[in-house]
Amino acid sequence: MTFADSLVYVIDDDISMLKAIGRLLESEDYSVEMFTGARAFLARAPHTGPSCIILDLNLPGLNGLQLQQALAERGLGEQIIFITGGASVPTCVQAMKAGAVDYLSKPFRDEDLLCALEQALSRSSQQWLQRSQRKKVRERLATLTPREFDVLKLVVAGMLNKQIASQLGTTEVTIKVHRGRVTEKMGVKSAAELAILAQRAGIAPPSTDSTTYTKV
Amino acid sequence: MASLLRGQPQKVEIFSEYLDLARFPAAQYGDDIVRYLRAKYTARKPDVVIAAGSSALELALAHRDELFAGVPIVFANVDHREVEGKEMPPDVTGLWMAWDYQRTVELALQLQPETREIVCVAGTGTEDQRWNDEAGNVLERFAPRVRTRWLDKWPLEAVLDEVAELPPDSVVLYIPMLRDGAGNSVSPFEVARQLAQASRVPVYGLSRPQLEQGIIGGALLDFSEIGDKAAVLAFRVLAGERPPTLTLPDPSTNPLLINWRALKKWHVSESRIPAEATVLYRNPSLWDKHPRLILATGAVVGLQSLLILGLIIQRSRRKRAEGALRESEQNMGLAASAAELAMWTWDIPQDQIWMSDKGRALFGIAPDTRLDYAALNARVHPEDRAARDAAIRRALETQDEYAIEYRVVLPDGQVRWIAGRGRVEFGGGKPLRMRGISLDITERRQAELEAARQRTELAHRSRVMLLGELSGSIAHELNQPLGAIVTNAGAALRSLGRDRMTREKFREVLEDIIAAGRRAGDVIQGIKGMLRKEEGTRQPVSLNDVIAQVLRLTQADALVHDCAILTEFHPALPKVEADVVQLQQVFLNLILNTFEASKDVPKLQRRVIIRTERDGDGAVLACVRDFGAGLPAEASERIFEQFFSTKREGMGMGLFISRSIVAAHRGTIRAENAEGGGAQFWLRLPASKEINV
Repeated sequence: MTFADSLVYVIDDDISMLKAIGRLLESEDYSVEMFTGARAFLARAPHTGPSCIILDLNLPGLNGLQLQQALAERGLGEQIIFITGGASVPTCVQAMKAGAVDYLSKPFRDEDLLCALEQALSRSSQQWLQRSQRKKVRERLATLTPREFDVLKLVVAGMLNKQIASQLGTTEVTIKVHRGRVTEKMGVKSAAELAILAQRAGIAPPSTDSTTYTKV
Repeated sequence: MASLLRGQPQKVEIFSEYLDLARFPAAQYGDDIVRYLRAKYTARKPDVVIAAGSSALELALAHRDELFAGVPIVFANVDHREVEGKEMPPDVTGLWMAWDYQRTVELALQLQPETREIVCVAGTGTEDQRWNDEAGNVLERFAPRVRTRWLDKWPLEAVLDEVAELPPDSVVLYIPMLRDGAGNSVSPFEVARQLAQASRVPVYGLSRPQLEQGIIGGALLDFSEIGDKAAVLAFRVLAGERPPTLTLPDPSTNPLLINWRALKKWHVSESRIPAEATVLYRNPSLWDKHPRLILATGAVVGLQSLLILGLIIQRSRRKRAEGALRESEQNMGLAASAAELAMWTWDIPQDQIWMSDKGRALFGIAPDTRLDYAALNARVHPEDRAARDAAIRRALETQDEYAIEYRVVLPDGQVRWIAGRGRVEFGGGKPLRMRGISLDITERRQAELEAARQRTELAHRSRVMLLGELSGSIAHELNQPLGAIVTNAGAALRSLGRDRMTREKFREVLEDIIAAGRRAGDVIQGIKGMLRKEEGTRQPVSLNDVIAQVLRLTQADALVHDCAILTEFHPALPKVEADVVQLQQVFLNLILNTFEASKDVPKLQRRVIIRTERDGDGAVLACVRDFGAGLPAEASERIFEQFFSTKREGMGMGLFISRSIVAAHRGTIRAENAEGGGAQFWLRLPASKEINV
């Protein structure tokens, strides 16, 4: 199974290994890009979509673990499968702790690589899905007026219209109107759905006395 | 002795003068020796004189005022009977030597309790007779149990015939001889060798170097031990002490030693070897048993017959002249291993050569025959004739001396190595005479061959160890192509099922598989080469290539150590004549050391620079530099010593072996702290004589 828009990078300074992996993946219909060094890879514009890096540990210049760290700082969430000609337990542990999907010793079985790759791309797709949803919510949030945004936050916090009106110093009728616009703009039908979206967008409910009160 | 002297913190300069007084008594030289020594040492008065051997001591004492006035004398290896009754000046001290007949006979009886007769082989020289008397006194003590028979009045040939026929319940006790029953002067070593070869029953001896000649053993006087003790005395004298004269023998100077090979040869049971005895030459490797013994220069071999006035020490602030030292050591070795010396004069206009009978024997030429240049030249090994001819011709043309080493082939086919020296004498602008000496250096040559063999074996062991350190790196080098093979084949197999690959593409994959397979094969070949035991052939190679090959092996290791290796190769480097594997070993060792040295350097600053350069037309230089903490003070000399290591887990063999390899390639290696931090090692090798492209 391949994932839509997915791209597999292979980075290995050994050209024969690089070519071989490229062939294997292409025979399985993956889109592949190959690099002989970490820096050349970093110079490329990041792919927008699920991706995985099959990364040789012993690279000249920036080595595999260092690249892993650099990518973690960039935060695009590329999944990494390490391959190595001489596996040592400490580096293996270090790589796995830093979030690598798998760690394969050359020569490895092609099934093992393909299996790890599937796992990596599935993780990456998941991330991309979440990321695109979050993006969508953010875009919708951006259409709200400041007043509507305030109302949204209080709704998400679980307040009744009456409470919101009193907190914002207006009438219940006005709040009802705002609330109707918010649910419309955000494309939801209920307060519960709104709460889920808001959470996804990272809007934490305000911790006020009234919240505590309603919960009791 | 020399090594002990050099090991002192104080810088000493050692001069050695080999006088060969045993076979050429001082009277024969007249005052020439004294004049020579005076000319040489008036300007640079030594701080102490070490006289090895009775004649040397005699000479030093007799001419002390004119040669070494006020200089203390330390003697070694002097027979105490010789100076008995004579009063020694207060600033003369030393060690008496003595054969340990008692413990030697005891050893014989312990190893061979069935012994009924001890056959004493001994000489007729004045010194010989003294020793015979001593031995006789000791042997009397064993009288009821064993008989004693003396073979001391016979020519050597007859003795050899006799020992070949001895009954099984007898043993031979060889008392070193300088002159045989027929009055011929002989080399005591050579006699030991001949006896051991000829005798039907075990030959016991009294002196350490005889063990190598094939005797079975004894309480053997160890000259190097005496040399060491004399050196200690010399330093005490230099420090202003007045150490008393030491009397030997004791078990440290005359240790019980047994030659394992001789034990087997004469079928003597190992089970009776006393606990305090040391067994040497146990198969398969000498190195296993006695590394120190084998690595010792052997320079002191033969002090007992070839008396040396020598080892004059000077306290000196000057830097020790390594070269001069080595040369003097060689001279000493040359002297010590000399069994025969021929002196000759060549009347050039008449083309007639006068040569002593001794000298004629050396070349296998009958006495009383007319000898000319062609006749002598006919004895020279055909392969060496041209070189010897050329050297002599050059000496005639340039009115200079010549010195050359060559082989002679005796009528019975035996090959002997000769060191020849000669000087032309001119009269009226014409060459009149050439005078010279020829020295039998066969033993030295054999020792050199043995040393080379030892070096090869040691180098091999160290290579195996280096490869052990590299095993991770090697696995990486192999896994890389193996990975490519497996993955390529996997890709092809998958495409095959679905008919996805064109024939062209398929061919490409197979070709890649073959290439990767070859690559793995090359790695294994390389390792096999490194594991090869015997010395490879010398061939012209480029240092750049050698280093590049090593870098391939260390590549993965460099990555693990986060060490960047930068190379600056001279593009037109002359080739060097070398054993590739051995040179690889040197660089492998140097490069692995740089990784070690870089451990405490911050990761991004870890680098190693390897440079090659030309050094004029005649030599090439390679420099391996790290950026670590550098060498500890005064370590730059010592790091090349055996068992010296600055690494916690270091064996201290790597650089020692590297230096011996480089030296065997007529090169040098040195270490220094680089400007800007870190250590750098310079390797200099002579360029190959072949035309370099």
